[in-house]
Amino acid sequence: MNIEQQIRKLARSIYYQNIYKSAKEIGSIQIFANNTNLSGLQTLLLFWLPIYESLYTDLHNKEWRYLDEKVIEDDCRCDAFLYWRSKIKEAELINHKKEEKKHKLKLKDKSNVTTFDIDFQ
Amino acid sequence: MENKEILTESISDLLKNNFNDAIITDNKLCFIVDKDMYRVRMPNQGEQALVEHKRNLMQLEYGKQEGCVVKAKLIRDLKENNVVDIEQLNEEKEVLIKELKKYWFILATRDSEDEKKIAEYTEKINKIQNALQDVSVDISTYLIPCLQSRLEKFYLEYITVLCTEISVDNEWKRVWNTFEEFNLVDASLSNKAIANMTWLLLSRR
Repeated sequence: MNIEQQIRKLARSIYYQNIYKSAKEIGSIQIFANNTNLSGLQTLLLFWLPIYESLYTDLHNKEWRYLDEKVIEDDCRCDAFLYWRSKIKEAELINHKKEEKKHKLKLKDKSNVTTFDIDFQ
Repeated sequence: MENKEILTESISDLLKNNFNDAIITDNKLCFIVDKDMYRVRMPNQGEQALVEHKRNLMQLEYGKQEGCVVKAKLIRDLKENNVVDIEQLNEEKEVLIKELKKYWFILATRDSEDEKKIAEYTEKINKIQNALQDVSVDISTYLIPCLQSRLEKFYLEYITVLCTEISVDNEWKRVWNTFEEFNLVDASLSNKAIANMTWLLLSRR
């Protein structure tokens, strides 16, 4: 197992996920012995911790059909899923922006403004 | 989940995975050479400033040397002399990355039950990743003589000199007092120290 695989294994472990969550909620809990001057390996762990946290959250919420524990455990499938998820979210965002733009255009078009006949008498 | 449950689960997880988190508990990495325990540690601010300064001096010195060439010129020379086209190698990398993304997309939408297909696509992805690694190694090997690569190497070696320590009677002592001492020492120790320092620094630079 290479060092990056080892770091990812640590990042997805329940132990480090719990420490990470607690450290976020309670400021006095530290993940590492050192507070400053983090090594590249420690920075890499900090990169993966929130990613695995989001995967566990999505799994818990049954957000995606193809996400299960086996995907999280397998680095290759996990990379593939993360890429696919980012593309799906990107597409959703583009669609949302398009819809928003369409909506704004509709409002600008005067013919779309509703008129009422008011009887003042 | 109750606190006790969380703790029990965490401990069983530690035992199950034969956990080795020594590589991240602090900003040091230990290794053994000939039964002696060594460690590389992160440089402090003063050491970092010193290495930057030394690297700048080295840049001036390399600049005066015959055959000193910057990366862009080396890439041009390699192409003009028909040795290798680095741009083409980079294009090859782009093609491989596109291919990789294609298979990621396919693999991501496979159900865990579909083990056969998962194994097939995983193998394809591994092959592409290995090919990518080969091209990247080729590129960096061709570019070793350029000024940027030499300075990078010098930086790493100098920081290794400053931050490699040996355990003597439960105390950590610097292994090399000068850069010259480091250059004279047995390569197996210096190479191992450099390799560990590379891992320790990783994306920090």
